[in-house]
Amino acid sequence: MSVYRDALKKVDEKQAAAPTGPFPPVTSPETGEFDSIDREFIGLVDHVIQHNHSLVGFTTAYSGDGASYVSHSFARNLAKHFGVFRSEAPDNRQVLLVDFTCTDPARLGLPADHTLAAYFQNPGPSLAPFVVSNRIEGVDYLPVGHGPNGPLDLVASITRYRVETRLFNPWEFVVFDCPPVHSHYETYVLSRQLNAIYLVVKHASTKVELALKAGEILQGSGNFAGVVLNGRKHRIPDWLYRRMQAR
Amino acid sequence: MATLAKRSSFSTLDFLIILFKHFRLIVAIVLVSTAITALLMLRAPDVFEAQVGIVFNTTSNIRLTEKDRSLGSISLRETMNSETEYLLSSAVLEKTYELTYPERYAAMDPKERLRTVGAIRGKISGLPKRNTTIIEVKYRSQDPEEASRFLNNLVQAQQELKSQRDPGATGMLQDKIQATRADLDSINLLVNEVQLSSQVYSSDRQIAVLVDTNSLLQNQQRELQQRILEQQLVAARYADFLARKPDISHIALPDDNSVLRSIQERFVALQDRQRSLQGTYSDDSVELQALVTSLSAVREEFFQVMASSAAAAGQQLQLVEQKTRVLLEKLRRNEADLTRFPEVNSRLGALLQYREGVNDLLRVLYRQQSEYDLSVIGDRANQTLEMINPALVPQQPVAPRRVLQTAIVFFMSLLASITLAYVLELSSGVFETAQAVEDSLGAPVICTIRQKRN
Repeated sequence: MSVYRDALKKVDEKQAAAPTGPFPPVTSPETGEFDSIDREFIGLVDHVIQHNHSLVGFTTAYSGDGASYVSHSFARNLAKHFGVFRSEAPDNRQVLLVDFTCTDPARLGLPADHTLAAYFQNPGPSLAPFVVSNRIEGVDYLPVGHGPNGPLDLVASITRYRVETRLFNPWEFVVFDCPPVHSHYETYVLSRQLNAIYLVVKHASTKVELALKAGEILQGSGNFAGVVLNGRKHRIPDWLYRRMQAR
Repeated sequence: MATLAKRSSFSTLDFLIILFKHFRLIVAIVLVSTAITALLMLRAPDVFEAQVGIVFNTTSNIRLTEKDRSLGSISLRETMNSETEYLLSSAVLEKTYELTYPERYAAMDPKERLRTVGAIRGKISGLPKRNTTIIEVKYRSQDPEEASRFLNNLVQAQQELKSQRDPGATGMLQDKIQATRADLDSINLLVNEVQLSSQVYSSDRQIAVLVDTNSLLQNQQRELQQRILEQQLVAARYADFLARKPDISHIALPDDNSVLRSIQERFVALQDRQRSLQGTYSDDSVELQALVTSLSAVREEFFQVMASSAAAAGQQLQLVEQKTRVLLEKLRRNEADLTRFPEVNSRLGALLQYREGVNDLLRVLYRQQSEYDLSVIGDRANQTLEMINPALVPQQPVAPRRVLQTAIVFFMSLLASITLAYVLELSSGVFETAQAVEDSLGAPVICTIRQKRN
C-alpha cells in the first residue's frame, strides 16, 4: 500500500506542476508509477487521451475475437480513470458505450425502449433518458436495438443527428462496440464518423489473411488508429516476454 | 507466426514462443522416442569383444621407409596390410570355424559355409599397428567364450592352411576343378542333345508352326475325304449303268466326261432320224435296218467308253486313298510331336537347373583357388605368425552402449520435435506476437490484453 500512496503522490505532484491537457495522462508502466486502471488498458487509454479521440470504435475481422470485451473493459477503465483523477461523483458520467452488437436488449434483461433505435423513432432534445446507467460501473450503456430499416439506417441517423442535435455532447467519450467489419458494412460507414477505429485481433486465433483484409478496409475509412491484441496466451512467463520485447 | 516466413528476421522471442507453445508435443516426442530406445537397449543382448595381438615374423627383405625403393623389397606397411588381409581372408576364417566347431562345419553344405564366413567377416576386424609387425585382431560375439576360442584358433588355422598349401593340396583342388568342369561339359553336351532333338519345341514360334501345320493337314484331309466320296459315287454310278445298260439317251452324265457326252448326242441324233423315217419306210427297209445297226454300234461304243471311264475313276480313287493314308500318317506324327513337347521341355528345364548347380560349385572352387593363389604370393616359407598371448575370455560387454545411444536418441528426437514445432508454426497462419501483427498490418499495436481464464 505504501507503493500505492507513493505513486499517487507522485502523480498528484506531476499533475499540479505541469498539467498536460484537459485530462491527466496515464502513467506508463515502465516508470513504475501507480496506474489507476487495469494495467493492460493503460496504453489504450493513454492513446485515446493523448490524441483526444472522443468517438472511439472497436471492431474485429470476424466474430469471436473479443471486440465487445475490449470495448466494455475499455469504457469501464476510462470511467475509472476519470473517477480517480478528477474525483468526480459516480453519477457524473463521462463515458457512453454504444453497443452495436446488441439488437435485442430484452435478452440482457434490459428495457426494450432504452435503445438508440427507440431514440431515433422519436428523437428528443437529449439521448440521456434512453441510456442504461446501472449495467457497467461508471459507464452509460446504450444498446443499439433494432431499427425499422436495419443497422445502416441507424448509422445514417447518427451521421445526421450527431451534428444537428449534438447527440453525444453530454459525454466526454463515446465508445462504439462495432460488429465484425467483414460481415457488416455499417462498421465501415460508422468508422468514417468516428475519431478512431481500433481492430481487435485475437492472439493465436485470428487468421492473418482475414486480419489483413480487415486492415485494408479500415485504412479506407481514414480513421484506423491501431490494433488491440486480445487474449494473449501465456506461452512464456510474463517477465521473460517483457524482457525479450524490450530488446 | 504465419508471418515468420514474410519477416526478414527470426527473433529469440519467436523461438521461445514456439518452444513454449508446443511444449507438450516436444516433450511427448522426446519422451516416447527415448523410452522406446531405452526399452530396445535393455532388451538388446550384450556383445563381448575378445582381442589378440599377433606378431608377424619374417626374414624377407622388408624396407622400413617409403623412400627405400631398392629392388626386390616391399615396404613394411604393404607387408603388414597384405598379411592382415590374408589373415582375415575367407579361407583362413573358414578354417578357423572348422577348427572351432568341427561338427557344425561338417554338417554344412558349401553355400551355408559361405554364408557363415560372411557373417564372421562382420564380427572380426584387424588392424596392423603402426611401425610394428603386430596385427591387432578383435572378435565380437554375444558369447564371450566363443569370441576368445575363435581368436585362439585363428593363428592355428593360418598355420594349417599354410602347411596344406603344398603342391599336393593345390593339385587336389585342380583335380577337383577339372572333374567338375568335365561334369559341366557332359551336362552341356546332354543339354545340347536334348535341345537338338527337340528343336521344334525350343520356341513358342515353332510350336505355333506345328499347330498351324496340324490344322493345314486336317483341312487337306477333309478335302481328300470329300474327293474320295465323290470318286466313289462316280464309280458306283458307272458300275450301275454298266450292269443295267439302260437307254443311253436318259443317262445323266458327269460334266467332265465329254467323250461319253458326244457319243450320247450322236445316239440321240440317230434315234431322232429313226423316228422320222419310221413313218415313211417300212421297218424292214434298208435305211431303217442300217439305222438300227448304227444305233446298236453307238450303244456298244458308249458302254465300252463308260467301262474304260469307270476303270479310270477306280484308279483315281485308289490314288486319292493312298494320298489320304500318307496325309494321315503325317498328321499322326505331328500330333505326337505336340504331345511330346511338355515332357521334353521339363527334361530340358531339369537339366538346365542341374547345370546351374554345377556352375555354382565351380564358382566356389575357383574362389578357393584364387584365395590359395593369393596366399602363395611372396616368400611365405620364411614367414610365421605368432600370438603374443592367448585371447582372454572378456568379462565386460562392449556393446550395446546403452546410455550413449539413448542420449543420442534423446538429442536427435529433441531436435526433430523442435523442427516439427517450427514447421507447424509456419503453417498455422495466426498471429503469435505483437511484432508479427505490426509487421503484417503496418499499424501499431496499441495494447495487449491477456487471455482471461473465465
